[in-house]
Amino acid sequence: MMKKTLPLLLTFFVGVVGAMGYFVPAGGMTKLSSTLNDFGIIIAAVAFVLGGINIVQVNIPIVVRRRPDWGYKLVMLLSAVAVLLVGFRLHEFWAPAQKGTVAVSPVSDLLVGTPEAADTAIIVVDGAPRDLLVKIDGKAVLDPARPGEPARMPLRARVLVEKDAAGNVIPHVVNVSDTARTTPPRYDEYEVSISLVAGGEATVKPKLTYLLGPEGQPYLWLFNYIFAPCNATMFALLAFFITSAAFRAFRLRNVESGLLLGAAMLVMMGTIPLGAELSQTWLYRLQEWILSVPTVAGRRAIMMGAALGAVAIGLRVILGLERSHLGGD
Amino acid sequence: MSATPANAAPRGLMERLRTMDRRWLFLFMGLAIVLPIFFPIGLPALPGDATVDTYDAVANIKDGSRVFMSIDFDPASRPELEPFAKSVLVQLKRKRCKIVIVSLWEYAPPLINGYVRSILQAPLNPGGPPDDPLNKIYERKTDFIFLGFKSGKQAVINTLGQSLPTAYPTTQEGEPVGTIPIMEGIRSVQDFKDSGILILISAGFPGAKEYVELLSRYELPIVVSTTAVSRTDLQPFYSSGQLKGLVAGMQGAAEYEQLVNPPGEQLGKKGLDVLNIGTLVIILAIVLGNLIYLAERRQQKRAASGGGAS
Repeated sequence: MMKKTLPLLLTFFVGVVGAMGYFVPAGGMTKLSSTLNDFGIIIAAVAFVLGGINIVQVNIPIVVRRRPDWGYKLVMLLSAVAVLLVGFRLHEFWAPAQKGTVAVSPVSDLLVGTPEAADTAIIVVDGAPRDLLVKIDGKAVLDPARPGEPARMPLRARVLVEKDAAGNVIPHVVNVSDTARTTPPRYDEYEVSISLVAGGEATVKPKLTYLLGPEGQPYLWLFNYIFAPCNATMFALLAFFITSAAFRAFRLRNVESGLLLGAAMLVMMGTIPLGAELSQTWLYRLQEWILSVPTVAGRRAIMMGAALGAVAIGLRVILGLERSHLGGD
Repeated sequence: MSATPANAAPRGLMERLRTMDRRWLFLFMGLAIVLPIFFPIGLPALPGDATVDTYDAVANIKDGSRVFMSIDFDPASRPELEPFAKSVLVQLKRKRCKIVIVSLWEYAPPLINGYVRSILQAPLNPGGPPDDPLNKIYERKTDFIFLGFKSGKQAVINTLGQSLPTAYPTTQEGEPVGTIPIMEGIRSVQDFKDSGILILISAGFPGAKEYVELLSRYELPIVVSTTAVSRTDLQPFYSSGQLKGLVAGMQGAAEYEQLVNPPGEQLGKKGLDVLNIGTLVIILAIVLGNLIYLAERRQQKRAASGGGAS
């Protein structure tokens, strides 16, 4: 009894509370309805996990037993695993606690005995990969030999040592990040604040981690160069099949099909700029009228009918008269 | 592509067309799609009333307002929706608007992150004056935020109407929404009613139709860009005033792009030539198919009356 009764009771409760949330403005009812809504969001997220498990459960036996098309199933499973692995932010597990080290020396060999030692210090930045962008106090360190290009590491930059009104040394901020802003960065970012004495030197060694996850380059490469073209191609095939179907099936057999054909031709010709050009826009106005008046009238009628049908089905589900959602017999 | 037996009677033109291998049609359609990309015609699009209403609705919001965007499409719908998505982001950037972006489609976030990087976080007019708003680099969390994808379909939309932080408690990077400066004072999408607008870019379910069905009771200013096949679903809402604007299909997106005139490559304009020629090919295919059908019927009638007479 509980196998059927409990789910029916639950359906009744959730359906009634969900509907009452719209009609009863009392705070308790609205909050309860909102909580059930949140349950729905969580269950929808769990459905993704269930879907993934189901794919594995269904397809692994086919691959193991070498059933027909097992090769395609294997490709699908391997692709799913590959995307799953690069989609997780796995780099967060092996990223070092410190993204870099700084060694400060009060004396720089380059400045010893020079007049610059009075007010200048040296910042050395050395790390891999070498093509990351280094900014000191917000200003990019550029390569003098290649105008506009960031200097490659290891690099040495001279900085002025300044003090504030209280006589404290103003620290310099060194930022190391991936260069391009319009493509996703390959590595995470490192920023450190260094206080230097005049004539001194600081050596910064960043230890940046290659980024994985939904913003990582591997994932985006798979998305942009494999998934997106395949997804777009499946949709693009429609153009060819529509042409073939239009040639073979869109025929003037009777009055009704003639009306349909006529309206379709007018709308198609009126939609494209060529039609508007050739007809001095009357075709365009006609297709706008067709889409705004008779189409909307028909569409509204269908939507109202569908809404009434949804109410009827919903009532049947809530009252337990419709049990197809329970599965089984 | 079709073989004729050596001893068969010669076939008429109509018969040959009727039994033509469909791969000729595919080839013709393929050329019609590919050639305009390499040899653009450049016919202008006549902006329709619905597109102009959409443009005006966005243009009339106050500069610097906060705007809510739901971008719900996948790579399959890019040709129809991407020109609008990019154009409206440029238009909002010109108005220095702050943007809150969400998504209900799991394949949308990589596309959205790409638009953010290439439009919001990039200078679009490098040679222009330094105070050109198009050159501003939008800061994440203060000028814009992308809250990410959330599964749950209508449940999420319903919750957005009551409590945005409940629908999106954290950003896609895991930061609590309450700590994001741009989200200050926003309890739900109703808070965009007076200061801003809701822009929905939707390819199907869940999307604009569900937003309108579930949130229209709050009387929010909503504009929508959708695919051409979904236009009839949303046209009743536009006609009744529940939507302030409706941009449909590649045609509408190209019209909108023409109105905004964003810098750089204009995909809608390119796509319009393909749409022109492709539609003409379909019209020709329909006309040819009907000519063949009418010729067949006439032949059958002649054969029937000729057989009856003898």
